[in-house]
Amino acid sequence: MAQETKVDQLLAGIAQHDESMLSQLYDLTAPNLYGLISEIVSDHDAATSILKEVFVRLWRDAKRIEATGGSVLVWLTLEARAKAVDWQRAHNGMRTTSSSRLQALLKAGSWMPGPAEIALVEKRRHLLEKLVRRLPKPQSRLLDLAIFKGFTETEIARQFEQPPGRIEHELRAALRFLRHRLRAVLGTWTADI
Amino acid sequence: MDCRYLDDVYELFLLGLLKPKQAAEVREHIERGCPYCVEHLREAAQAVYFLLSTAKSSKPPQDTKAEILRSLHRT
Repeated sequence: MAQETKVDQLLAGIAQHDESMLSQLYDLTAPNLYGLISEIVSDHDAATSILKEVFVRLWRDAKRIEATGGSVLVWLTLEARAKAVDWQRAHNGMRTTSSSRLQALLKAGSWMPGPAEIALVEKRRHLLEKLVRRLPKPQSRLLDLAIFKGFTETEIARQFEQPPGRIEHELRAALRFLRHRLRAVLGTWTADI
Repeated sequence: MDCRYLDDVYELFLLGLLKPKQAAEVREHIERGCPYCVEHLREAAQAVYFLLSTAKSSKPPQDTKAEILRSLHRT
């Protein structure tokens, strides 16, 4: 939990354009972000460029991010995912909108989870990982395609040659399963997880 | 306003995977500060953050940080 708090304290320094704070934040977060980007993007040079873009954007937008009270870890993770998905979709000749949509949404940032909420996710991570493993394999595969490949329900349906309604039902059921378990794990009740 | 009919879409909205019409509807609720939607989107963001952070860590190329720090002076 200390690390999550430290990460968010570094944001205040970055908002004041303190490069040493950005350097420290990079050391703490870059391996996870690069791992995420590399999971989405098939090209190593592109993954590195995206990582750079994310940190340069953070440098530029730090004051605004700080003002939302949201966790910088959430901002970094969503930004990295959106840029990586856009790159991979463009590379595959598909429509891209993730990054621009996210930027618009981040401007109304009151919905961003705060540092304390993310610290709790990190504290309970081992329980959350256990429950993700309980997802049926087909639903887990659908989640991977949506989250790490940025495929829409319609695109997944086409890939699996399934009716879109069925894919929509399965994907939303997987997300509902996770949402309900997340409430249990992050609340006070942790039995039978 | 009863927004419970949106319960299953907040994660998809955050991931940019909703159809444009429904995405516009959620965005409108968030922008006008609908308490139910803001709270549920916050919860969805925790779930999405967790899922994305299950990706395996990987060390970026060695010079990446230095290149980022150099490029700050050009922004």
